[in-house]
Amino acid sequence: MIKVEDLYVEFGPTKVLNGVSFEIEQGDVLAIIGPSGTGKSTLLRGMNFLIPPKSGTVTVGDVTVHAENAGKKEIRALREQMSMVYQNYNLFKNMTALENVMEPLITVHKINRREAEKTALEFLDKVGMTDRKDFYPSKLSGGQQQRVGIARALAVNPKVILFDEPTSALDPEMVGDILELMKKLAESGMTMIVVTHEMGFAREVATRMIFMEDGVIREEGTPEEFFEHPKDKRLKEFMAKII
Amino acid sequence: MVFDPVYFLEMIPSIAQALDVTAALSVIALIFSLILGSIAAVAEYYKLPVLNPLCRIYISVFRGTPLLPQLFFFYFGVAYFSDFVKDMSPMTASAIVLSLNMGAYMAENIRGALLSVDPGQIEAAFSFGMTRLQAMVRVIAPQAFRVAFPSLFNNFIDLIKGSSIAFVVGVVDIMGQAKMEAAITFRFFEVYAAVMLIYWVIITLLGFVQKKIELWCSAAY
Repeated sequence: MIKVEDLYVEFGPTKVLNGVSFEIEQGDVLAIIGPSGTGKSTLLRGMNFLIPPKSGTVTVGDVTVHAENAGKKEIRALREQMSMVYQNYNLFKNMTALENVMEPLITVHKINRREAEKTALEFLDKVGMTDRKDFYPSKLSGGQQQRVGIARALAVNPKVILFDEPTSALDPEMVGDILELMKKLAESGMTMIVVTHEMGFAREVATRMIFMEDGVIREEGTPEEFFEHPKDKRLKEFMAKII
Repeated sequence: MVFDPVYFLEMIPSIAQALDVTAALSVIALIFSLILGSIAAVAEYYKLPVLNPLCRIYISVFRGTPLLPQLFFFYFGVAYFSDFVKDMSPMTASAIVLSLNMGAYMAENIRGALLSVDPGQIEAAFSFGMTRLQAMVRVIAPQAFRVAFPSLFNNFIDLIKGSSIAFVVGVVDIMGQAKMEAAITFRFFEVYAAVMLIYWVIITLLGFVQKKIELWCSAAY
């Protein structure tokens, strides 16, 4: 259902992704792990063309985009299939929690205001933020902002949500809350790709795992394979350090 | 010749008659300089092909030369080749040159404000499939405006003061009015003191307004 084929991303002379390919099915939770600076976040941004890949193909649902001849329309169609949750939440600071969730529905999905508000309230309720719906992001804690970020990502009814280290900027006591929420999403059948350093979460929730280093996938498998018998030498070292 | 307080006091309302011209010139130039400045700033922000290089040249020329030569060049110089400019009223010509001049300064202030909006939010806007225009109108511009406001207000104050230069092409604003009064009585001291007082009062009052709006700008969100 989601297929990335031979993705290459370069920043000038620096090659960040050197041919990344993987495939996941609907309902999968893919955890991407690996040392810093190995292209995990770039992979997510390459998938939705926030960073245009040099070459490769991305398929989500029935939308396939080839990097070599990706036009604005194709890229927008692809982006409408997915949404993203960020390390720094990236809520629109000039909008309340409710308006943040409504915004993509209105501007991108052309849903009328009343419908959008109804949908937004429904998803704010799901993440437990109904009572804070009229707060601006500056008045919300990190954990609360991330809940709104997740509601915003859910509301557009995406085929997949990309999580870019969603708990890395949170206070330690908030991390558990957000992971719990993500676990609930996973259990409800949401397809998720999660860049994370939370090994407990990966082990418990992920259905697939990828270990990346130097812009390539070094190992791919189930959490069980990763935690019980990792094959790649660098993955073994990484796991030893991180657990 | 001694200072004549009665004449000075008479001069204030007499010169203030032309305030409508000063106000009209300033407000018209404010509107068009904001439009020009916004276009040039957005062109640079999104590095729009063709438009951005053109805007860079425009900004460089209008910030790199004084207002008075710009006005003379346009009203007397360009008029030499263009009947359109030749038949133009001094007021229109002054408004055009003031707009172009201040637009160049505003462009730089607006550009700085646009850059102050955290790129993560813009990334989020794009990741949902928003277009560049939507991201600009819905997310970037509203936040940038609050940042740009104080410096744009200063630009407006400069614009009001700068509009006094329009008298050289025959616009009867308060400065033009003062010039005519002075030409009759030769009481330069009283006349120009009066016109300065009028500018000073206007700009001081606007300063209070500016403070109020700045408070509002920094309070929300």
